[in-house]
Amino acid sequence: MIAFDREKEDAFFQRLKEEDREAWSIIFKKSVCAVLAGTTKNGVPYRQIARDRGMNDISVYGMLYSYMIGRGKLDNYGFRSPIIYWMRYYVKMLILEHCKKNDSPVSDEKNDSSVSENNNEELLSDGSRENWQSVEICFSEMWKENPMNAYVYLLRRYDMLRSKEIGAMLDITPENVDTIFHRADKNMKQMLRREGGMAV
Amino acid sequence: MKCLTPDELLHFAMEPLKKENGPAALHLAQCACCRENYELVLECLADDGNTVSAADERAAEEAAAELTGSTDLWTKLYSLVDELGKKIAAPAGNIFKPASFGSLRPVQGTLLAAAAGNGAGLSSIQSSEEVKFTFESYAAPGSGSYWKMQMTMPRTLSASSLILMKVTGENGALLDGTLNFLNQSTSLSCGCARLPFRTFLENKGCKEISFAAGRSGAASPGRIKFLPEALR
Repeated sequence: MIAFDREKEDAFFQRLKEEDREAWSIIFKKSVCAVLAGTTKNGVPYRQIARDRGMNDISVYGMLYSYMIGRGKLDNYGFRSPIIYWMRYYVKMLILEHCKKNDSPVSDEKNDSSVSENNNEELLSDGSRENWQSVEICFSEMWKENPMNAYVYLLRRYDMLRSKEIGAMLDITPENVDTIFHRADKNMKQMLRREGGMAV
Repeated sequence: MKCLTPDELLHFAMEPLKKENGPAALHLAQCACCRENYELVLECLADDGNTVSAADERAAEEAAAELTGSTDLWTKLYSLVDELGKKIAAPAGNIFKPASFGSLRPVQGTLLAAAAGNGAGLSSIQSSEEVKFTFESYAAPGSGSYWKMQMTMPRTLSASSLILMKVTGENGALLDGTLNFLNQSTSLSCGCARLPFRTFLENKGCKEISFAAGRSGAASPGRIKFLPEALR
């Protein structure tokens, strides 16, 4: 992972603002190329997604450059994370937005969001305000007691990452991730029952 | 808590287990939209492991050279607009003519020479040449999103003069759709639209151009591609 150094990011940001060729070359290599060489979480290559919608690599570079410089969105950078990562987010977002505007959203992305919605409904039962408050209280309590458990619960509950990926990120085994999740899930249900707002 | 910005999501993703991240984590538990964005953010961190080929790196360098180079073209275009604007605002009237061609070659004629001249004696102009600028999509021909726009400055110019913009697709076919240029969305009819020169004066510095073909097509961004010879 790239370390965040505020001073370095500040200097790099200035070069990007001044449309420095070398700085933009770094962004194209480390942000755009890295995204295009990768896949969505369901394994669909971003380069393939772009090409299927009439975009070649230069279109993607141009789209990002136009968005950041032409529309001045570079100014939204908040200096809280490495700018290389921040740009990657916008490369993905611009590709996916382009797909949506062309009425051809990436199918697997759609499925992902439906999974999340279902989980949400399951967790919140009838979705009432009281239930929301119970979840808030219980989740906050869990986070205070053990952020690792609460974070694993969050990622697994909403199917954001697989156990293997969570394990790699948190430096624990996938089996440990599953154990933590099941324990946290049980704990959450108990807390919700205790709060009296959830019948899960 | 309001929705998290990409910057905040990245900050959270890089060091998620801090105690003070509780409110952000709780918001993620409640907000499907932020969770969707957070998934993209997690992908961004994982992209460190993607292998980029040497050929892709070279292409990225070339793209950086071309795109940052296009900034110079925009600058030159707006310098010209600026110069012309000053002359139009001069007391001699709204019409100007080239006072001196100076070092400019004949083919560049008219507006460029007027911009380069000293502004004296502006009265009328009958030029033999029109000045054309060319813009083009980043999308390549054959991609389905390709377009080319030619902007023609009239021989006689005032703030209210209409600048013709003609958009064509592959094989030179005229395209209808919406042109986003100079912070304006302009509908094209028979591939053409006209914007008053005043709009250029009011939006100097806008370096964004895109074109959406048809009624609901996605906007395909582009850049300035060619300047008249004298400005290159």
